Amino acid sequence: MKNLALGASILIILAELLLALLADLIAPYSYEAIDLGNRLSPPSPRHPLGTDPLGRDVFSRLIYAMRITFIIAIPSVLIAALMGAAVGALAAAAKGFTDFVLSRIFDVMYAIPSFFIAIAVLLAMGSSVTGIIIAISISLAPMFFRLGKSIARETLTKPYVEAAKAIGASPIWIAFNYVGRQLLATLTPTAVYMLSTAIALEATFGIIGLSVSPPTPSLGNMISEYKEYIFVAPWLAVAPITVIAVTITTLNTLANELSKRVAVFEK
Amino acid sequence: MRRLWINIVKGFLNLLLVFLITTAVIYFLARLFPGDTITVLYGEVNSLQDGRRILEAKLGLDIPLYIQLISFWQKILVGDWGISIFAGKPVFDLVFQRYVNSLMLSFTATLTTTAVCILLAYLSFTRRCRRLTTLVASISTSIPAALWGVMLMVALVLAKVSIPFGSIIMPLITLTIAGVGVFYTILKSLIDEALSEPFMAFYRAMGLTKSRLFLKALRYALPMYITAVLYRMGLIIAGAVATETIFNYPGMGKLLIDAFASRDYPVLLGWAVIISLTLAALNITGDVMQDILDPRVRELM
Repeated sequence: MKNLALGASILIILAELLLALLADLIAPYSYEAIDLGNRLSPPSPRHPLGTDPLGRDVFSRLIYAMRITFIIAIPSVLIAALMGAAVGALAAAAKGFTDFVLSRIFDVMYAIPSFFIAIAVLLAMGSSVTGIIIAISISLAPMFFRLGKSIARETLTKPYVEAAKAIGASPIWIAFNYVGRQLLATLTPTAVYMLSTAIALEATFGIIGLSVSPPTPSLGNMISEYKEYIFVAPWLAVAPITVIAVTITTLNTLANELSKRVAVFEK
Repeated sequence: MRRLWINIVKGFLNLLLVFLITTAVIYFLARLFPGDTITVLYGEVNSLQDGRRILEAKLGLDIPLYIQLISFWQKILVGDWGISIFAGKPVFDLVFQRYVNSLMLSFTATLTTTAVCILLAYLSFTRRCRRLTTLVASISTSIPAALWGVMLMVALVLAKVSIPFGSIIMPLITLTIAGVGVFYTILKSLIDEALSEPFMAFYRAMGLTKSRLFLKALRYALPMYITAVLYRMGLIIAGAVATETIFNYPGMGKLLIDAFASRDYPVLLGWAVIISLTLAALNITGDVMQDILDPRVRELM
């Protein structure tokens, strides 16, 4: 029963990744193929999820949007995790003044509103995937920093670290073999969970028009486009929201199951 | 008690430091915006280099950067945040009214969310409907706040009820629905932690009723719950900003979108300053609050 939840969530995520990866082969239409003679048509065999106000196939657009969302979410989390956790561990090891300076830097990152970063990047370099990645990773990094610091601090007080020091292990060896491994084990579930936060942030940016700009579909900008037609075709906005709901729930379940296993391993 | 005060002063100094650095970063980020102040204000006047220089001097753009920064800090503290390019009103007045509206929304939403969470935790504590409460939490976290707003709109459209745009009700309901999941998960794990503590076994042996027991566990959980909520304020505010925009509530969210759409840089700058001050304050208050509310830490002082 326990393994069922883990297996199912891994399967769903893999299926979504595969869909996103093979979007060009799977999507029946291009995401920008406009068919004005066939606007807002209900679901049919030719268009499994119907068409949007410009006659574009919603199903195909969803698949491409999923691809963009993953292209944004995965690097954002990886950058935030690497930056936050590594620097957090450094702060824990260095203590004192270095710790103080690094902590304040991440306090500043926390205090700059993510929307403002998104807007600044958007205004400075135009709408781009890179800009959104920068904005999301800056808003996620402080949490990784906080966690990384406390995990590293705890690990460094463990008897096996003392023992390693006593037999002359170099700090670098301890950093990689003990602190690094501990961070990897404890932060993997967190990273999976943050992946869902990143997807949520992209959607939130998208809704107020700060995400990738159309016609490139992302789950966020599809919702913001389709919510204008809520009185004519409410199902349009529900489609991308459902995809997000499934993805986030799956990722949260996966993170939960993973952290249970890490907890058992630690006992 | 003395250590508590030292911590509060430390917290305040940290806040000041973070605020100064953050505003500096924001000030320079704003410099990245395309089109400098003069171009935005008066259009392209390349032919008149002299006029440009006079304007630069008048707006204080010709002095060294660090002096500009210091005068920027000075102006923030005095409340002189410049004039909105489009509304023509002082930025501070413009931002402040919206800020109060947003604070009211965030505050009431946090209260209603907490109330719902305590109710759910109580239900789950008396073991009447454990599965149901977990299900509610996971449904609530499945989509971010703004998307709950869209779903709510869809529901109202399908029920043929007119949507009350501009009022606080819709964003409030939306934020509550979206917040319950995260807050409940935190509260639940803290209460579970309390239940495994020896003092709870003691209370049980004393024969306290279930609801009294629950209150004791709640008392244990609350300090850490408040800290956890404060740390998540960044995401909550982000959600509130987007939700306000959807329902046309006159808060910081709508202000941001309008200022962005019209490239009203002074307003954008003012927006970022006030939000970052709030975030920094909440983050640092979280640390201090834990000291004040947690009897174990308090007694050590």
